Parts: sequence; C-alpha cells; structure tokens
Amino acid sequence: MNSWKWIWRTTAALSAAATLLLAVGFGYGAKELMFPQPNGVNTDASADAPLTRRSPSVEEDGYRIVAIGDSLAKGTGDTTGQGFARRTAALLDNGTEREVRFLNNLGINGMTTRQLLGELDEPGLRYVLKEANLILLSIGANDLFQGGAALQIGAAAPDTAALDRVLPEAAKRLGEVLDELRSINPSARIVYVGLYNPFGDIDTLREQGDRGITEWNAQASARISEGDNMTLVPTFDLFQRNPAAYLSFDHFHPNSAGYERIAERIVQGLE
Amino acid sequence: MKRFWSMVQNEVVKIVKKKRFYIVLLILAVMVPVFSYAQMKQALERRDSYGSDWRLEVQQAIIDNQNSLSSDRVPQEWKVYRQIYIQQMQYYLDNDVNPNEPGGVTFTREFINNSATLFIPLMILTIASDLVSSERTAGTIKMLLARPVRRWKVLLSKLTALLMFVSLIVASAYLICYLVSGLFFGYAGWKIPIFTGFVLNGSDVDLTYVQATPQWKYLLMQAGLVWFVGVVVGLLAFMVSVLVRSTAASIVVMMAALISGSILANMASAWTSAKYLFMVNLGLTEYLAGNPAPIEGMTLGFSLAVLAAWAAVSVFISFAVFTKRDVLT
Repeated sequence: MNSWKWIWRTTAALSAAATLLLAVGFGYGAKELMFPQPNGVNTDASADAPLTRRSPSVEEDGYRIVAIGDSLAKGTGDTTGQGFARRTAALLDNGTEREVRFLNNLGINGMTTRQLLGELDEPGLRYVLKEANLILLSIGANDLFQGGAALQIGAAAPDTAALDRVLPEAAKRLGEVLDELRSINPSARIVYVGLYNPFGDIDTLREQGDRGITEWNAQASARISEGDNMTLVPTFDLFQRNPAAYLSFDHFHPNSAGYERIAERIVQGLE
Repeated sequence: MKRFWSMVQNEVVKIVKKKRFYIVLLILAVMVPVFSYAQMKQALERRDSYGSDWRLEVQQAIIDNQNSLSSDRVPQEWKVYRQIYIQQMQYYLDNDVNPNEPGGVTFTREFINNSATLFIPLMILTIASDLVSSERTAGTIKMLLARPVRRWKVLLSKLTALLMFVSLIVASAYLICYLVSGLFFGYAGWKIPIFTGFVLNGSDVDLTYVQATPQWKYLLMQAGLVWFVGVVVGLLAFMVSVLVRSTAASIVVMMAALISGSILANMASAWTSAKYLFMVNLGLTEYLAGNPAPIEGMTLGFSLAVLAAWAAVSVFISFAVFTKRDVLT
C-alpha cells in the first residue's frame, strides 16, 4: 500500500509540474503565432545585414575555389554533375602540392549578366566570394542565346540585328560584374570562361553565331586585360571543329568531355 | 472530491503497474540514440564536403534550391515550399545565424518537430487506447461499475489519469531526447536564436514579424503545441477505447487515422475540405517553424479550432456512450 502512495505522489507531482509548464508554453506559443508583433526592422536593407560585417577567415596558402554564373558554371550537361568547376578543382588537387578546397558552386541555370548583378548584392554570396582566392566566372551566353531555348523550339537563333543590339549592353554589364567581383574580393584571381558557338555544325546558324561570339569574346578580352589579376580562358576553338563530340544532348551545354577540356584550359592558365 | 482523487489515484497506479509508461520510456531510450547516431554521421559527412563553415553550406543549399525552381520536373507545390525555404535560409544567412547549430538542444528541437504528428501521438496511444477497452477485455469493468459511484465519475477519473500521462509523456520525450543527444552533440545551445514569425503569403515570406527567439523559448512553445496535439489525440483514442471492445482494434483504428493523416498532408492540397479532418491538423509545430501548411487556408488558429472541436465531440461521445451502455460480458 505504501508503494502505491509513493507512485501516486511522484506521478501526480511530476505531472502537475509538466502540465503547468506545457500549458504555459502552449499559451505563449499560440499568442506569439496568432498575434505576431512587427519587429520594426527594415528587412530590405540587406546592405547592413550582420553577415556583411563578418570578415573572411584568413586561411593558409592553398586554392579556395568558387564558381559563379550560369549553367556552365553549374555544370549542366555533365552527366557526373561536376562541371568545369569541380573538374578544375580535381585537376589542381592532382597537379599541385597546395591544398585545394572547393567552397561553393554558385552557378544557376539561365543566369544572365543582369540577374548576376542583382545576385551579387546578396550578403551570403558576397561572403562566399570573399572567402575565395580563385573565382571561376561563366556568364553572357544566356544574354546572347536565351539559354539555347530558341534552338530547341525550332525558332531562329538571334538574328544579326538583335545580336548587335544586345551585345554592347551585355558586354557593358560583364564589365560591371567584373568590377563588382573585384570590389567584393580585391585579391582573388578571377578566371572568365569565354564563350563558344554551340551552333557550329548547323550551317544556317554557324556564321552569325561565330560573328557574335567572336565579337563578345573580343570585347570581354579587352575588358579583362584592363583588370587586375583577371584572365579570359578561350573555349571557342574547343568546340569549333567537332561540336557534337563535346556537347551534351541539348546541343548547347558541354558534355563531360567538353567540361574536362575547359577545366584543363583553366588549369593551364593558372600554372 | 477526495473520493474522486482516490479514484484517479487508483487509475494512475493501474497504468504504472501495467508498465505501459515504462514501455514508452524504453522506446524513447532506444530510438533517440539511433537517430542521434544517424544525425551525427550525416553531420560528419557534410563537414567533409563543406569544411567547418556552415555559411558555405547554407549558401549552397540556397543555390541548389534556386536551380531546382527552374526545372519543369519539380511540381508546383514543391516549388512554393522551396521558395519559402530559400527566403528563410537567406534570412538566417544574412543575419549570420546558423539555422542548424549542432547541439543537444537543436537536435531535440528537430527530433520533436519530426515526431510531433506520428511518433509522440503513437506513444500516447500506448496508454490511451486500452484504458477502457482493457477493462472490458479483462472483465474487470463489472467490478469497476459495481461500486457505488456514478459512471461518469469512473470515466472522468480515467480521463484525468490519461491527461496526467500525456503531460508526462511529452515532458519525458523532451528530457530523454536532450539527455541522450547531448552525449553525441553536447548539451549547449539554449540561447541560440531561432527565427519565428515568418508569415507566408503564397510563395512569398513576409519578414516584418520575424523575431529572433532564444532556443529555450522556442522549445517551450513547441512543447506546448505538441502537448495540445497529444491531449487531442489522447481524447480521441480514449473515445475509440470506449467504443471498441478490444484493445488491439482500438490501437489499429487510431494508428490508421494518424497514418492516413501524414499521407493526406503530403497529397491533399487539391482536396481542400480535408483540412477539417483532425489528422491533417496535427502538425502545429510546422506553424512555429514557418513551414507552409499542407492545405491552403490553414492557420494555427484554424487548426486549433478544428482539433478542439474534434476533442470536444469525442469527449461528449465517450461520456454519452459509457454512461448509457449496458455491460453484459
């Protein structure tokens, strides 16, 4: 009989305490969720977000790689999902004694220069870019070709007039992207991956594509040579002779072999 | 009144002597280390690919979700979910707050969040489902009712004992979870800020109400909501236990309801009137975490009202049936 009493007393005491605590939690939670108070913080002011005040961690000598830009940076079309970014990291890792860390792949499918300029305001992105000392940039193809969608749905590739209109503005924005990257990270090496013509084996499209891309690459090259610690890696020739062998099924993005060749170029330029 | 409490005492001692509550504790003590270990493995693997900087990891999660938004293969509802996720992660990142700071407290928060709709209700069923039906199976109900006590008082004493154990189960789930996961992740993390108050408008997140809540406060609110769900599930199971003759049938009925709830929550967004079912409304903690409700138009207030209505009806039915029914066997 005594043990009964003991069981009852402890259970009742513990249960009463637990019930009280849980009921308070319930009341408080319900109040907070059903009648939320505005926090009075201006949420648009991402410029003074706490993350922007964090200084990058200073690390030992070694490659800290970030890829940023469009689907090429992301690696779309590579069946292994690595893209030139991770392939570059792998090649560097095999080829040097230095430690190689691949921080982030910030590539987003369909990214244009205009969108990228907007994204570069994001504190998280800026933080990652500050951490890097090698930035791999691929941008511009979507400005000129709208993601290759034009080809897939059977419409004509951008005609000469449209290309002439789009190109100078896009090239100007490329310059702004490079300036912004440089201001975010004053010391990192920036490698810009030049454009190739994915339509090289389609006679009707080759000529105007070639012309536009050559023009783009020339302007990009001129702009990059002005900058400090920047390189343009040409890829035009890699896909010129035999595009089918190095392009993926969508006939726009490189395949695994194509990305590997781009990565080799990048590494050659670094050494 | 003193008489009534001695009846409650009788019921509590019966539950303890039947070792149901020990089973609950034992299940928790076995399950939590398993999940803790799995989570630790996962954390170690992530550390391999992102180093020690969580910011890189969160940024990559944002980018990966942004990429999946452009894919045509991703269903529209998932896209909404991901858009919300992106904005919340962005908010954490911008404020330099790790959304998943490892630690026993964070693990407890996550574990309870995942077990609020199924696992914890299941623990409550262990006790609630055989409260009345077992008396009938064992034949002891006759002795119970032969005493000179009104039937409703008999049932009320059982109900009171059940509610006492609901509180104990929720509290011990937290306690065991914290104590065990602390062995793996450390016992720190009470003061880590967690953002609450994300108001969702479709795929947009309204940030004007977002508050940084210390994790202990978050746990308190979460526990309260889980407790409410537990009470409702307990009352429903209690009703089933009154209605159904065998304990096994009673457990199966409630299990089926709970499981159908978690299935419906995943696919019922087109069938909007499903939101009046109690089992779709059990995810109260999702509102706290700022996750979208399974069906559009559901809010915390709505879910609380639906659950309260179901609970009230089930209490009414329990008493109506128990006081009227003839006991033959």
